[in-house]
Amino acid sequence: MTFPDLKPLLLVFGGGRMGLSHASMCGLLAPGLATVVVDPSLKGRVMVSLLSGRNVRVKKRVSDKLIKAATHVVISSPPKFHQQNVLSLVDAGFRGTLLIEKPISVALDTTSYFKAVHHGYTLRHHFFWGPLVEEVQDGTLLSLSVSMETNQDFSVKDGNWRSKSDMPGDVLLNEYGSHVLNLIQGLVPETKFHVIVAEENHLKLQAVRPIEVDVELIAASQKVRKSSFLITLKFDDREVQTDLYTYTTFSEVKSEPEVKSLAGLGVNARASLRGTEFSFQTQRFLNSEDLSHDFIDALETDEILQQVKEQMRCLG
Amino acid sequence: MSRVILGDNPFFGVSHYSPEKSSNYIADANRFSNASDVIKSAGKLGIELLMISSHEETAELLATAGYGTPKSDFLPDICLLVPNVHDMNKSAAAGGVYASLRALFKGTKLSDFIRPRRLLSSVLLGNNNFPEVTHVGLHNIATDLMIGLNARWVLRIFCAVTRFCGFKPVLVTLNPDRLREMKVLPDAICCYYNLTGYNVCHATKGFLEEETSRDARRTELWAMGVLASGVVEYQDLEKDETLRRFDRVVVASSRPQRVKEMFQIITSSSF
Repeated sequence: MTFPDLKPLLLVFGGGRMGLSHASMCGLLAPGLATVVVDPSLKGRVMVSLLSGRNVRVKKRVSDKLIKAATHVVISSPPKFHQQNVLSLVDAGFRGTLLIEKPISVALDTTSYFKAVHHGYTLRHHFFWGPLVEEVQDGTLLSLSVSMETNQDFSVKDGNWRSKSDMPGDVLLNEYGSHVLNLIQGLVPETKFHVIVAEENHLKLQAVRPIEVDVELIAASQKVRKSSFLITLKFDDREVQTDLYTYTTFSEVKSEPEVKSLAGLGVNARASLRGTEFSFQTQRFLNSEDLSHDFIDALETDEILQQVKEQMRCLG
Repeated sequence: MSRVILGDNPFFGVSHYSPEKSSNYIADANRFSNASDVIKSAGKLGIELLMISSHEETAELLATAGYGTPKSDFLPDICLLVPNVHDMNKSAAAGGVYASLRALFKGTKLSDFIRPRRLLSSVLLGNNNFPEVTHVGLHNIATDLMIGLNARWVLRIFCAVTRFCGFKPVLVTLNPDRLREMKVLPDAICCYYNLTGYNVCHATKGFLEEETSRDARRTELWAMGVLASGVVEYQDLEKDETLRRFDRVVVASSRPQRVKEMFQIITSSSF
């Protein structure tokens, strides 16, 4: 691993589930990394203090001095604070590497100040992401479908910012739909979706241009233990299917489908917390890799999300 | 104690190979009675410990197998994995980290607060307070989160509280090298290991080579995921020199015959 500075310092905005996960994953990959978690709520600060050791400090507010000292920043605060957090970094002169968990309502020009900008859509770091992109570049893609099923129930409201929406399907779209739309954005840019079904635990989207794209998100499912995905790409000469554990190619030339699996390929990482894709994502962040193209995609994902939400409002 | 520990993934529909396999497990209406058969036959083979996660259905499954009744004399003891991470993750996604920690106190009664041991046991075990529980393991998501945050004291407190309640603490981790650096001493460290390297962190092999001999260790080493979700043939376990460095091996299957075959290999004199 290479660090641009002698003393790497990680600054994390938001001490919630994802803030803690990022701080921990960075700590696993870079032992001894000094980390400061900023959380305005007392509850959040107490929680982070209780769950962390000596090299993790907790603060209510962030000072310009601290921002200047930081080499890496993670923004995992609620989306309405993203732009405010970004502006505070710009104003204080931060020039390091920035990761915004889900870049929502972030103006692109503000991010040009930083050494590298990353997003938190982890599917882009999945082991099978590269092969999927190559398939699309090498062949004529006819259609794409993505389905996701989770046992998480979005009809349960817990008063948290994530579940604060009365529009049916909105929370499901934010939590899982955003990841799926970002994945599609990377494979089939400029897809225009129509909302077919928008319920609290069921979303169905369709597109016909530039190609046929189907998206189905099912929540509160009793059939799965955690979230599961199925991505199917149809080409003129073959069909590719992945559930993100296995990768199967059906072709007319071969009688048997060709199956690769993460287990069979022995996929692993330097350190692990929540799957190898999260490890790979964090490694690239710590290495300050240039992923600006991916980040622009993430901002466009936000635009698509807003278009879908507009349609959902009309349906409602 | 037997070198083989029975794992629970198929009982709860957990597969690291494919969601389809997982759904098939869950859809099986006879899942609990099959699991019960596997547990009973494992007990008859001489397997003395069942490592089982805290899911919503755990208490029901254990009761189906006969735990908590006089019949349980022939069943393996229990190593209960806590917390229920799937439940906690759902609570955290919906209501934040605070809501997920609050869920730990779900089963506690007000009267428990004047009896520290009962309160701590209640928080540790939830509604899985079976007399056959001998070990309590901290789930790898929780252990690894604490390792990354350098929260050595949390892991030490977990071990101390577990011992205070009369159980043996086990830390499950995917980063055993980092755990060793933290100088926390549970009764056992359980980590992922298999021949293909699937989900095995890069430093694990080096960590195993540096480990002292099995007899000299104060903390036992347990291996899980040794079949890499079925990719490694169980006959290959016999040839795996690194696997011999572990004190115990966790094996899981939905079929009693397969458990028997793996048991015979791992307990054979050549292994």
